[in-house]
Amino acid sequence: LSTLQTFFEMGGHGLYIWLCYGVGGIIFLLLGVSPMLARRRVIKQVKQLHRRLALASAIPSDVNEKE
Amino acid sequence: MKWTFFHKLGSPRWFYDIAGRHCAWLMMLSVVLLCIGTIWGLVFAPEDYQQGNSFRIIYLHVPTAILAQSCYMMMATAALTGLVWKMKIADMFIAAAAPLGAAFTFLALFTGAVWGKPTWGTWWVWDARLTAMLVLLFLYLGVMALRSAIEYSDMREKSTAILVLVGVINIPIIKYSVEWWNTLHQPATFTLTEKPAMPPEMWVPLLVMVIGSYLFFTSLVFQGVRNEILQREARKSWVKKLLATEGSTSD
Repeated sequence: LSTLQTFFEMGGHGLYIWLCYGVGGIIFLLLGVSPMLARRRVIKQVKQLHRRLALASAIPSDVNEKE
Repeated sequence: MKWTFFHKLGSPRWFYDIAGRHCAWLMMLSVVLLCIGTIWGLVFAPEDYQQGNSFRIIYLHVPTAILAQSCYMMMATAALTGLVWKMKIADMFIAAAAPLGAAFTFLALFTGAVWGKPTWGTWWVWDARLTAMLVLLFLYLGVMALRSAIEYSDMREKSTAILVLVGVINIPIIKYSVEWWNTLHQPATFTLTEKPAMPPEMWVPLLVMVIGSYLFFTSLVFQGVRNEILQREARKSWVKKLLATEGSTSD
């Protein structure tokens, strides 16, 4: 246990090192996850657009003209 | 010259497929390398005889700082390509890379500041290298702000590219700041031409971290550009077919 403690203390520099790696880890994690979340959002949006376009083309043109 | 390759690269559909095929294994490999490098650097690399353990921040600081700068150079190359050959992919690359560059620059500055406290006795000095890196962060944020302020258009593509190209002046300043001026910041850790001034037990894990970060960046850019392609080509028939057939699955 004491060796683990000396490891975390890092010769008195523990605070600095773990602060860096903590913030670094969080940022890397956020960067890694964000494109996957963005992809979901984009696919949802684009599908919505496709549904709208399909709906618009399904309506007979004379109805559109009257509006 | 194989111009066909060049034309393919400009084709969003081709890039979407290729990037989709490679982004997953690139991400996995980069996670493995980053984990190995971090554990190696934190646990097994020897202590620095002057700085003690605080030097271990190098394993996060140097890769993010290298990437922060080379990301900008890649964006500048893309900007030039986009202006000259009107490649749509170039603008999408800038869109995907700018936030990554901002994140890496922030991390390089942050780890540098935390490293500076025990090593120099201060979090921050207005030293040439540090100031130029701060300017780089603002350039990334500027590119992102510009893009979010303007609707998608040719004008946005052009103005982004020009802003990116103007900012390139900052890169040699960052690179040579430690040689031109007397700065607190130490000279480069890695150069292509010379052997590093540290024992291999110290620089090999650093190299692992640098390679891991590059692969991480590549995978993220691939995914980001894919998202941009889907958005901008949303009305194209291949996107309609793709989303219709692949249904609700995430791929």
